[in-house]
Amino acid sequence: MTKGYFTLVLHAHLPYIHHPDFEEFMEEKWLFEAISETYIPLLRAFKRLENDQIPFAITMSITPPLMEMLDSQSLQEKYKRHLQALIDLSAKEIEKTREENPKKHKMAKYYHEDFKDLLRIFRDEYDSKILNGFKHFYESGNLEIITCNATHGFLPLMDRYPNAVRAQVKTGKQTYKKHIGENPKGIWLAECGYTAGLDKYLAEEDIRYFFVDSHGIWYADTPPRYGVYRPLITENGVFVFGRDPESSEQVWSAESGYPGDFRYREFYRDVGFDREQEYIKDYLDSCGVRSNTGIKYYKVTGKGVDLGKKEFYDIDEAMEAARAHGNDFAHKKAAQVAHLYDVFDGVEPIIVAPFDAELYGHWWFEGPAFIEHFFRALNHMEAIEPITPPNFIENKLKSVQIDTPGDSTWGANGYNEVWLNGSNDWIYKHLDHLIEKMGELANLYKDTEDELKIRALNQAARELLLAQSSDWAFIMTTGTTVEYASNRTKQHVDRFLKLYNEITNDTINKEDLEKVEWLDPIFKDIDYKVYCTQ
Amino acid sequence: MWSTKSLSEKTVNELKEIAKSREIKGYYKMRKKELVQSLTNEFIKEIDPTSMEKIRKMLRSEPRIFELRKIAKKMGISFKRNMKKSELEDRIKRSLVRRERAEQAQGSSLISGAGSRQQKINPGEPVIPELPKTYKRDKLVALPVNPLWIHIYWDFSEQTAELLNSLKDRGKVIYLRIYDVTYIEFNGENAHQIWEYEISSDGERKYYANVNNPNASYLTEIGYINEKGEFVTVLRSNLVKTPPNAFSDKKEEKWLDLSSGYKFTKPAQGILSKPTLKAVGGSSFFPQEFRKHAITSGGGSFLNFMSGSTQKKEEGE
Repeated sequence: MTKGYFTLVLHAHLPYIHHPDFEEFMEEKWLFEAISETYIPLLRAFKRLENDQIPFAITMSITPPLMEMLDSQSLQEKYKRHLQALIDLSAKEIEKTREENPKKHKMAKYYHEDFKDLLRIFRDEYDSKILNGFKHFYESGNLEIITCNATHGFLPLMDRYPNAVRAQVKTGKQTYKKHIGENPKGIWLAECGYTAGLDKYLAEEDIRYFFVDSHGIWYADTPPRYGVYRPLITENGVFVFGRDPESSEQVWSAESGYPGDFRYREFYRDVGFDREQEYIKDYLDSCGVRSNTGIKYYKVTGKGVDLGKKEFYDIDEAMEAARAHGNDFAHKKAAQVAHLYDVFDGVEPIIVAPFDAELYGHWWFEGPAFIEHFFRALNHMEAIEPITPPNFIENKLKSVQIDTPGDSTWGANGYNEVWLNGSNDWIYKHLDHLIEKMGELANLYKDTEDELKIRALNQAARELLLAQSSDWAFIMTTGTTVEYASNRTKQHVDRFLKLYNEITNDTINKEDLEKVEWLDPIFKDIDYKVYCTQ
Repeated sequence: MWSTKSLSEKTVNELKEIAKSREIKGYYKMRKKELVQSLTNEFIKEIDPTSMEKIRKMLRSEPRIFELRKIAKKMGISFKRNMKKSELEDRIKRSLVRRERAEQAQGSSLISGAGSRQQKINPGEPVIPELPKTYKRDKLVALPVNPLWIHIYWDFSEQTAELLNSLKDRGKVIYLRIYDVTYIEFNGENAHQIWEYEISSDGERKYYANVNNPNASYLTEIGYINEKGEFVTVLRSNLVKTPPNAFSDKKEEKWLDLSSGYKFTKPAQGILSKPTLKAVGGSSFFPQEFRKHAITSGGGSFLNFMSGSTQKKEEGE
């Protein structure tokens, strides 16, 4: 008998990084690594489950910038070149490791085959469009794809400007429709950032549900009877699901989480850093800066073991660990729903476990296998059933508590301080100014028929949206690649201000406009009038 | 090309020979350390910032951090004094490669764009624009940071800036005021609490204020005290609400029956499966030192392993 439900949410996101003016660009590799290590490995896991007819249910937000990048022909071409280089490198590694160590040699052969398979899947199976892979599982009903607000803008600090929030939400919906073909039923608010009133904008776009962090539910306006284990509905009629802290802890915890198992692959030992410069330099960014290649030979080995003292990785041993952990997690979830079912006096709980998708595969190499084994194990359990939010709302929910979640995010300490602190507060003066100027432009020129002006207005809207990515503020806080993030903010603000001047002075330079349209071609169908305030 | 390291490996006599050939003043009375120092300086001086080959050579010879700083300075690369050696090296290398690409691109200006379109673009080192320091508009904005802190920033029109300056000249003090206006229609006098901070009209135009209450509303103003001792408002901010960090004590739950659309109420029972948790947010926020503490989590996992992660690890059920 089913005593409760489980919803796995994977939030797949990367900021829009697209530099067509460079043959290669180091930060573009973030996308390539995510495709190789997370997105395709997830698709492979889904496929194995499908082949074995194991029912699974995963909710995945694929953010608008990620969809746009995955759909970009120039990035697709660059990715194939990137893979080809890794195929060459891994062939060299096979030779090099032959003498070094049998365990390394075995992994070199594994990587070589894996890169070739990635290229085959990417190029031949999906015709370079891996979104089609996700769409397939969306159509089969196993994968609920949801959207995110346009550029992952941080809405809790934007809510003084309804037009800016509306533009973020509407563009998120439009981009989803463009790539998936239907309207999204749900949304992942960037950084799980909620502030009272945001639900109104979701309702306007017929978005039926979203997620908040645990304390968003706990500190709701009235006490939520079932805590995070049943959705609430807001006054504006949008369902809201809360994050289960226990699931996060079991997977994420630096102390006791699964990814820290000694048998798993060590992320920080990569041939990109370990090999001598002369040998590896052709496979690194041409500026010679050391970076990850994805070829890694070591395992976690032990708690606090020095990077230099790691032992060789054994993939069979690691995959066995992933199987055992998937199994263990399934048992824990079944026990959790059974317990909650009793506490709730026969009301079925739904456990919602959101994660950044890139944890699985990129950081935790065996993560996709863990997910696969988790669903295989759930399949044998009667008490618990995997489910997507729309399925739960449609078929399992008879009555729902009306409430307003508390303002919250999933950042450090649960509020806004990751995106607003001494390292990044300077951006808000500019972002706010741009929003006001964009509203002014939209009002002023809402009836214009001048095609060039319309193009410039749309480009200004793109620059504003790109400047708003929460990623820039986040990077400034974490302190790595800060220069890139701050440059991106400055560039988009500057491009906007130039466009603003040209539009209002009637001095639009067509060539310059073409250039920024080429540099920042996100959201082709955007309509600047979304920023009108009257 | 010599670096400190390669020079240090030479004998004092060898160094003196080199110094002599370079016509370094007073080389004969220098100690080894001084010789190395002045020779390194000499070589760095010789680097033509446009000679990328030389800079590359220098990089390969394991330069010390002060040498890198000099190179960066020569190349016009901005850097911070506390930057790590590897960061600085990265920055120089990146700049080099972008310069190189720029040169190549000037030679062959056709670069294929997105799709099949081809465009004439000279890429090169991306020009990092300077953003305006002020937009010359009156602005006073209050933003929530967490349950106990708010951030305030402001900007002035030319007119306001003039007014404030003239007030200053007359010896008036400019204040930033923060009012707790939770549940009240603010009339300027009825705030639960008022905090006042002196601000300078030419200093940094931002402030972090530690306020008392979560789930409370605050308003801020910039102004001065007139001859009669009254506070005169120059700018007023938006209303800002701090997030809650505790359970609601409301006594009634509202419910919706989904099939009939019927709404009803029940007496609240609190949370049936009560989490045992520590209050989140608030105490750990120190704007200056925040970066040190902040690295443990946040969104955007690809960029940072600890993201979206264990911030509530002490609070699990």
